[in-house]
Amino acid sequence: MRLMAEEAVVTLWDNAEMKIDVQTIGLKGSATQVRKIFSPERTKGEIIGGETDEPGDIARLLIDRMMEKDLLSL
Amino acid sequence: MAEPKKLKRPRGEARLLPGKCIACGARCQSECPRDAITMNEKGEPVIDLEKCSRCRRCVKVCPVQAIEIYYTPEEQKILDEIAAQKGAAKAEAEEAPAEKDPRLEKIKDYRGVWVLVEHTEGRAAEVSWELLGVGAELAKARNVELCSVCIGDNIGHLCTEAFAYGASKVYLVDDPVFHYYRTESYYKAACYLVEKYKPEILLIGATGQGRDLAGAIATKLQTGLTADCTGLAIDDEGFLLQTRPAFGGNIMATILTEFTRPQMSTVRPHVMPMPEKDTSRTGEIVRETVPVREEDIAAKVLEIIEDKNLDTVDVAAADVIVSGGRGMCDKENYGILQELADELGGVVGCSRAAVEAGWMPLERQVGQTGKTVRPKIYIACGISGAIQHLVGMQDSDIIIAINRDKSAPIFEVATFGIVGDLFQVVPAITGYVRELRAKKTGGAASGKAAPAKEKEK
Repeated sequence: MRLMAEEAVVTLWDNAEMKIDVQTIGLKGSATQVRKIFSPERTKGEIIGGETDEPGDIARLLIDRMMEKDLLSL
Repeated sequence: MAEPKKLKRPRGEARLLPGKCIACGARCQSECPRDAITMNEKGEPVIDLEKCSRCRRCVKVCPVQAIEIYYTPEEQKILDEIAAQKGAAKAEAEEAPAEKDPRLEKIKDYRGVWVLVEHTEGRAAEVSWELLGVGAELAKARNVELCSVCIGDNIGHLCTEAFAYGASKVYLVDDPVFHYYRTESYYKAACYLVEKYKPEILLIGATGQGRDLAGAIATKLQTGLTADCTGLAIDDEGFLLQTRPAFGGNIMATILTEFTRPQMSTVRPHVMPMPEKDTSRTGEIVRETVPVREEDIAAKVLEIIEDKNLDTVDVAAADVIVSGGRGMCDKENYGILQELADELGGVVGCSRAAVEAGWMPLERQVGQTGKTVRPKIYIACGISGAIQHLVGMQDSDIIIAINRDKSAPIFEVATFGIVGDLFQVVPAITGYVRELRAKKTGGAASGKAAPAKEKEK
């Protein structure tokens, strides 16, 4: 069984038919222009518990650090 | 005293510096007022020097400074002489001849910053007030008024709120025909106001309704619209610089609407901080009747049916979010996140992977196709940090990432990173928080923990 799509004849309209003013389409016709592109800035954070694998220690280090920096209050 | 010899200023020629073009998408071509630039098959510009007027617009627009105006050594010598004759400062001013674009003339009457107030049955969407916050900065930089536009039925109270959040004037369209949101009635009303009062900037929340309306307005007014902006500022020439993530957040683009007005932007909820509310503020209300009649509108709203199964938790509104991703492994495991969230007075969110696996409902999804959040504390558990997730949460005040893979991209945005097994670390944190609280209250039952900003003085 062949797909109908394989035999379908697609009518192509280009600007000879559409007659659109080329100044109003595409990049030239866009009302917005890209002024600048750049990579997003990120500030490096800190790794907690690099020396320990013990979950309890990691939890203490994290929460104590956050309390000390006034980021969390209990 | 003899006049110095009159030197003819060399024109130089615009040229592409080899190897620098990144084929950004023909910005130089679209910027050229003389159509002097065509693109080759590699997407690099080919400059027709016959047509080129040396206006330097292509030089300025190029994001990687790949185009320059080249002078031969002889020409450079003449330039130097001219500079010596006229004094460096003056020569420099002349070097960039301000070729005023006639299109700028048409837009000079547009003044003021407008924020469209979105509401459902008279209840305002918070993003409208967030936009008034950033709108105030833009209005100040432009030295113009900050105004709100309220369209609806029986919504006079929204004016008072708009004043409290910083608007100094409200354009109010209050008519039963605007009781329910319909694209046709709302965009026609908005366009009527814009055409009458000519604002230079129009900000709209990037919600379902806002996205629909903004597109319709921009199309009707034939002006530029930049969706999902994450940064808005005014440049030296007074243009609105609209910054938004492009290519899935891997790169940021700053976009300008140069020659049409208003400059339109949409901004997602929680991207801009909420301004202080000051209920003592008042302002001017301009009541408008717009020529939109019920019989002219094709669509009718018969009834609003609420989805009763909808998750009632709004992750976007939470101060603390404990989020889980693919690393959670199973639906049941979200229990440990809920425990930590309960302990911190927060809610549980998730990444797209968790929604696709069927572990969490779509309403809890954080990221590009989910909610944008900026809580005080965001805890990402077993989330690798695909860029689509990062763009939805990277503006959180504090980000804690817990992941086994130390090279996971989530650690790049984390304030605190923990490389470890979340199934051990998360319960340990919950346990420690409980322990501390028990110690503090002497074992008595107590209230929830809170991010520091909310603590009682």
